[in-house]
Amino acid sequence: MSRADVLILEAATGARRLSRAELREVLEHVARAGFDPDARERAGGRLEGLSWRGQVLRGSDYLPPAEAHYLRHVVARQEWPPGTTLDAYLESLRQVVLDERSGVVVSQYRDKGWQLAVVRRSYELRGPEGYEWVAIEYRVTTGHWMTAFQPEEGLAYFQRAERKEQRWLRRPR
Amino acid sequence: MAAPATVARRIDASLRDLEAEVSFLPQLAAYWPEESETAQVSYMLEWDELMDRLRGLERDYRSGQMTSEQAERYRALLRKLEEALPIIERLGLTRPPVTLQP
Repeated sequence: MSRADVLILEAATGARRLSRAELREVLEHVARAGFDPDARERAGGRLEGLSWRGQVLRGSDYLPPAEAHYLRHVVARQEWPPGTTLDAYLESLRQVVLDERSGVVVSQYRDKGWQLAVVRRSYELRGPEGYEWVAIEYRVTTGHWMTAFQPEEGLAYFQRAERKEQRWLRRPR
Repeated sequence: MAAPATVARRIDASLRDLEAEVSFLPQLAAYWPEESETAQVSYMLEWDELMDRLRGLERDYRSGQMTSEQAERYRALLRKLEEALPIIERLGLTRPPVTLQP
């Protein structure tokens, strides 16, 4: 486990209060992590029938997570501005993670382990069907992003019963 | 306050997403045991977001923001969700946060 992940766990459990420099170290690690390039997930119902890389997708098709989340939230749902490419989507997420205005919250998701989420107002990233906030979720056990989208319910998305022991490491500005 | 055309577009998009994903649930249930834990958690997170959108649709429905065609699609969606409840529970997904009786 990386030093940054250890810092996340210590901060999440209240064992340590991160200094500004330590939080920066954690966020640089999270920004670099990205989606897992070796993982695969089903396209799911929302992408059924969508054309991608010369093929018409079926819900059962496997996709790399970066592509699955890009297609769901940028191409199909238009949460990002029209014309946003896959690379631009991923770069926009890295910038949100590193943005000093972003909030940082850790919580236990169900019994699945600790997650760190970064959330910022969407500003220039808000597309025609976008919302006020952008959220990126990082999972400590895998060391990669899990999802990244614009939650309709805004910050209330993080106040669900499925999330326990929630702790803000930095509030969004 | 959002313009009516914007509201109608948002409602259509949420209905489309939920209809598609609820229809996919039986297939998902068949694949679920062979999925990695990471893929399962990813789906749970996406499902949570869809349930937030369902809550938004419920507000739109109760406040009369939907067209009659959208309201009919919403009621049909609730029926499909009710039918899918055993799958939702078996997979450990968040239960719909709205009443399924329109």
